Amino acid sequence: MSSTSPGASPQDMQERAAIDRSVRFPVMFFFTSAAAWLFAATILGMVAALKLRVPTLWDACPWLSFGRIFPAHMDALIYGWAMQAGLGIMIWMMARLTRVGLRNATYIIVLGHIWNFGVALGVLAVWSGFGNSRTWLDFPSMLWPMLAATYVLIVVTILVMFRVRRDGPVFISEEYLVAAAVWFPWVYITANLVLGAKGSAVMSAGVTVWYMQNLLYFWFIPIAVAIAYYIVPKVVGRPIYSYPLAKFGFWTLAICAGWMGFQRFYGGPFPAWMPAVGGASTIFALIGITAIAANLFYTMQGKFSLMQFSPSLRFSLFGMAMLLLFAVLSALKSFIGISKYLQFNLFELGLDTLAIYGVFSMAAFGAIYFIVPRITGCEWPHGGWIRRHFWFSTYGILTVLVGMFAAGLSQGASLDAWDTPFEVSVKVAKPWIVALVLGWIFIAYSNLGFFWQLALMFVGKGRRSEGPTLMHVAPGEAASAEQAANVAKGTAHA
Amino acid sequence: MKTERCELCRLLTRLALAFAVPWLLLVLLPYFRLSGIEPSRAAALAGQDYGPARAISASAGEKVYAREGCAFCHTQMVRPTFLGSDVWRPGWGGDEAANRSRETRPEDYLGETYAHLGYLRVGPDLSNFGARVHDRAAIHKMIYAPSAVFQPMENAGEQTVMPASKHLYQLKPIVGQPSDNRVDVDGVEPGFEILPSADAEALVDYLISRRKDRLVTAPKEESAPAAPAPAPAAAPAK
Repeated sequence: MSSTSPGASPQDMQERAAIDRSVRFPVMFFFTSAAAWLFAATILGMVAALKLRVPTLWDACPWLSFGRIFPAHMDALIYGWAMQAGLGIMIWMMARLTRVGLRNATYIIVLGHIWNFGVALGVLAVWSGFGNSRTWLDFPSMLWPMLAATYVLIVVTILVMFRVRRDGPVFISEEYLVAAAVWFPWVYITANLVLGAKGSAVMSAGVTVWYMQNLLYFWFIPIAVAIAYYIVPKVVGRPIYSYPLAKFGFWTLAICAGWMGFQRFYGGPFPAWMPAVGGASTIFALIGITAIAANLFYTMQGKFSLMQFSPSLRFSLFGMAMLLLFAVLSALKSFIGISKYLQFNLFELGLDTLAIYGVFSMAAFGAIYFIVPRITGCEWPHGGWIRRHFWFSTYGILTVLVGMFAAGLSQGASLDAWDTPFEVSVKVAKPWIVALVLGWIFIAYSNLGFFWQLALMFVGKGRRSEGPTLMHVAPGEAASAEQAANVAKGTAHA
Repeated sequence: MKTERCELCRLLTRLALAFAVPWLLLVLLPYFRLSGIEPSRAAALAGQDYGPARAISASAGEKVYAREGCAFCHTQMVRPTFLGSDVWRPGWGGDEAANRSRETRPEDYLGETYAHLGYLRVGPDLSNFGARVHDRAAIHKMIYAPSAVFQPMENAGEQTVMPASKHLYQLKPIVGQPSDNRVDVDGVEPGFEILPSADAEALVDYLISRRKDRLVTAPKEESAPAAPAPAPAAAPAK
């Protein structure tokens, strides 16, 4: 377990164990229900992709038509899986970083049930034909006050932890977590109020894309980065390379993100400066994200071999690599000359999937592989399953991305030739949709092992042994990734 | 030690400052400004202010359009020429015969509760669907059985990716003469016919009402004196 961190006194260890015990049940509740939602979302995603490729399949059943199953899939993925996994990670990490235990675990669990209930109602409503075609905000309008209130009541505990924290320097992950905690309700409530007010029709559409982009840059990315900034120094055993650089990355993101979103509607019925400022700030945000990536790279320098052994490190750093890729592609897409071809086509879908699965979910898996052994007191049963989880998730998300990029380019080029019939743009993109189907099959397969292992851990059937579960190392052979790497180096030299 | 303890307030204030600026300038102010726009003077002069009337006739159809997720594959937004060739695509920009083809502007969406600008463009843009398709029977057939309308393409044998919305139609026995509004598809059991439900009729009403090609510049002698309304100033540069 965590017993390997150097310089931890027995008193420290006891304190950490006490904090872990205090958050155990709410965090496990969020992780397990998130995993169940992830399972539902991957199945829905698979069927949605299949229906996009073969629309005549089971076409007598309205529940399976793309227009219903696709939003249900996205909502399950975002509100069911990602937000709950994120909440669990936020609670644990904040408790550890501020060294404040959670006193009201039952309160969080009750709220967690309400959140699950709300999301289940919402997804079922969208799926059964009560949706409203508002991307990521398509739950029936009576549900949002409940979801917003539940979220606020949950994150209040995180803010309280930060408020009563011990004096001392604030760690960068804490800032990211506080930011994610307060930004989401602000964005969510604003978007829903604007939609509910039924004022300007175009601004209602505009605020939807503003919400989408803000959810990505204000919630998913901050939490993913907080995870990486926490896990990398822990596993590598050295502090973050440059603290000012970390601050710079944080504030660049904070200042840029609020302006984003309207670039999805370049050339739309808005004052022209609104999409333009969205595109420009996406390009500027790349500076902040490059700073984050560089900082992590220099922190890792010389220790990259640890990625071979530590699942947490491997998943969270892969998430950061995908973050850099996502930021670069988003910035490229924000140039008008490029956006002209990529706007409104399947590439958009690939990019959103990359952000949610490639960036956030991969980082979240890293955190879950780190956290669960600490709070349940047993180790992951099987390193091989973790490896399979990693590789098939990687294959899956890269297949989706490459396929959708190719589909987007061919679709965009064909749409731009105004004298070719529209059907041609569908014809050239259609073969690539197979990549979306395959990608979700890979992802669903990769997650089977994860669900099984998490279920075992949940019922306390994990491996009881000294030493963490590492990849490429037999259980108990090495007490840490560091040690495993040294052993590997030793055998290589010998 | 007071400053140490108020770490949270300090961080929250800074975050709020960073976020309040775009929140005000990008969301709230444009929201109130765009909520107050009016149809262009030219459209009003030409008697083309059909926003409110259209909203009433099409609101039931809009609900069907939204709940079936049509907007995930169909856009309703025509981009100006520097952002692609939407305007030149036959029928997309509006009535070309009347020389009214153009990109969409904020006032085109007056009378709608939500502008379904779209997410993907897997299906064609529907901003001006009503300007290019008028035949209700053809639209019903397209919704009921898209694969019967879009023939397999040469070389590939590919068909449309549009899903069939069969649940909006009912199979009913023919009583007396076949109904006029039956959907004309092959393979229906003899003695039966396929009839659109109220939802399907509403959806077709909505689709036929899709027109965003009203006049934006009035004939010369009328537009000369008064300063233009605020709406055109807020519209994207042409």
